Amino acid sequence: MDKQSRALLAAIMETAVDSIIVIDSAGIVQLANPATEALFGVVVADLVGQNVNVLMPTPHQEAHDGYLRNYLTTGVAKIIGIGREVIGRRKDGSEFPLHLAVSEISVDGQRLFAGIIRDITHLKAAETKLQEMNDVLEQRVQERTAELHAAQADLIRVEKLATLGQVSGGIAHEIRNPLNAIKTSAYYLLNAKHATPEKVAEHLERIDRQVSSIDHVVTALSDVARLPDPHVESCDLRPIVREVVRETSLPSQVLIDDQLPVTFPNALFDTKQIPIVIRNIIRNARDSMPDGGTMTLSALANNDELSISIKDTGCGISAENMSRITEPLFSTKQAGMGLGLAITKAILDKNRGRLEVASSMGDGSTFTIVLPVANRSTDGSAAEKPDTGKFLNT
Amino acid sequence: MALRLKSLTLASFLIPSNRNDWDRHLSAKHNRILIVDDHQDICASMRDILDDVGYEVVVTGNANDALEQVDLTPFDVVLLDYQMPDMNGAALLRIIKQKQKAVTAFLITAYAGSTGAQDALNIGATAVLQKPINVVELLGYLADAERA
Repeated sequence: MDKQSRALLAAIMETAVDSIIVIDSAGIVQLANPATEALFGVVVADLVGQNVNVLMPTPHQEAHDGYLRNYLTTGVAKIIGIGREVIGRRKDGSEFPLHLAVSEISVDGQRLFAGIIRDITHLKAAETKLQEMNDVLEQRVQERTAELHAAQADLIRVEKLATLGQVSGGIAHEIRNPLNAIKTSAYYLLNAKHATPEKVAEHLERIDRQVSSIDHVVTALSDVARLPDPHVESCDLRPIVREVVRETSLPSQVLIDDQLPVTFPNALFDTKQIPIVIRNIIRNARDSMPDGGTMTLSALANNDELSISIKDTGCGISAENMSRITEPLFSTKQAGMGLGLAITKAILDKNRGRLEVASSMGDGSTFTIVLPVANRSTDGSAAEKPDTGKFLNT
Repeated sequence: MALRLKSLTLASFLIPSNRNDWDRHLSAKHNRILIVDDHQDICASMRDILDDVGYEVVVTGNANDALEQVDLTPFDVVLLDYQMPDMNGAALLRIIKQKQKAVTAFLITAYAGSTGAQDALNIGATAVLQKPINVVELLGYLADAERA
C-alpha cells in the first residue's frame, strides 16, 4: 500500500462517524478511532492493549473470549462477516444498543478482527415506540373484534327472539281461538238461562272439538320438533309424485303437465315421510292458483343427487315472505296453520335432502325437492348404494 | 283481558251477580249486536250467550258480509275479530265508523298487544279484548254501552 493510500485510510479512521475497533485473536484492542471515544466514553490510548470485552456488559463480557476461541477452533461464525445488534457498555457503566459489523483481516500472518460499531439508540427507541404503537393498535383491534363478536352474538340473540316472537304469535293465534270457543261455551253452559238439551249438547261437542283442535296444533308442533328418524330406502320418486297428485283434490281448472322423464334413477328416502313433503308442495301449488293454472312436474338427476320440481302458475311468493315460508306457524293462507313447509323442511333435512324455492310475484313458484341419488338404475330394481345402511341409524 | 278502555264508567262494574239481578237486567230493551269472526265456533258460542241474555244478535264470518249487514240495519254494538280472511278488524271498524259514527265497537284478538289493536283504539274502539275473552267483562262493557 502506497503512502497516499495509507494516509487516506488513516484519514477515514480519524473522521469516521462510526466507531472502528481492531482486535487480535485474543480480543486485545490493537487500534480504535476517535469516534470510539465519543461512543464509549473511553480514551483510545487507554483502550488499546485492553481486552475489548471492557466495552461489553455482563454476560457477554465474561463470555467474549470464549466466543473468539470457539470461532478460531470451529470456524463457525456467529457475528463475524454477518453483523448484528448487540449491547455496548460505556466506561461509566451505562449500556446502549449498537449495531456491530465484524470482518476478519490478516496482516503479516496475524489474524485480526475489525469491528465497525454504530450507535442505534435512536433507532431502537423508534422501534420500541413503533412496537408500543403496534401493541396499542393490536389491543384496539382485539377490543374492536371482541365488540364485533359481542354485537354479532347480540344480533343472533335478537334474531332468535324475533323468530321466537313470530312463532309465539302463531301459536297464540292457533290456540287462543279454540280456547275462546271453549271458554265462551263453558260460560254458556254454566250461566245460560234458556239452555235447551240440544244447546247443551252442541256446546259440549264444541268444547270437545276445540280441545281436539288445540291438541292437533300441539301434536303438529311436536312433529316438527321431534320428527322420527327416517328409514331410508332406494325408491323411484316418480310414481309417488303421480300418486300424490292423483289423490289430491284438484279443481278442474288446475291442469297437470307431467314432464317427468321416462327413465330416472332411484333416490334414497323414507317412503312414508317424503309423500308428506310432496303432498304439502302439491297442495300449496293448488292453493296458489284459486282461479286455475298449470302445475308442471319435472325431474333432473346428476351423479350425487336428483331433484323433482313442482312448478305452479299461481300468485308467487313475495321477497318479504320468502325467508319465512319454512318458519313454523307462518302462513299466507287464511285457513293455513303454517306448518306444511316447516314439516317439509324438517323431513328433507332428516332425509339428507333439501328444498329449493324460486318464485316471481304474479308468475308463480317452483318448489324443488333434492334428495341423494341411490344409483344410476332406471328401473328401480338395482341395488342400493353400500352406505345406505348409515341412514338407518341417523 | 282488556287492553284499554276509553270511556269506562262505574256502570261497567255494576254487572248483575245473581239470577234476580240478571232477570231485571234482561227485562230491559237490549241493543242490537253484530259479531264478526271467521271462527265459526266462536261466533256460535258468542251468539248463544248474548242471545240468552236478551241481545239481538247477528253473526257474520267475514268483513264483507258484515258491511252488508251494517248497510241493511244499523247496530248499536259491533264485536270484531281482528284477523279475518278479507279484511282485518281495524280496517273493518274504520268503514263501519264512517257509516255509523255512534256505534260502540270492541276488537277481539289473539294478540292484544299488536299494532292492529292500537289502530282499532285510535279509530274509536271502546276496548280491545284478548282471546280467550272474559265473558263477564264483556257483558259489563255491553251493559255500559246500553246505558250510555
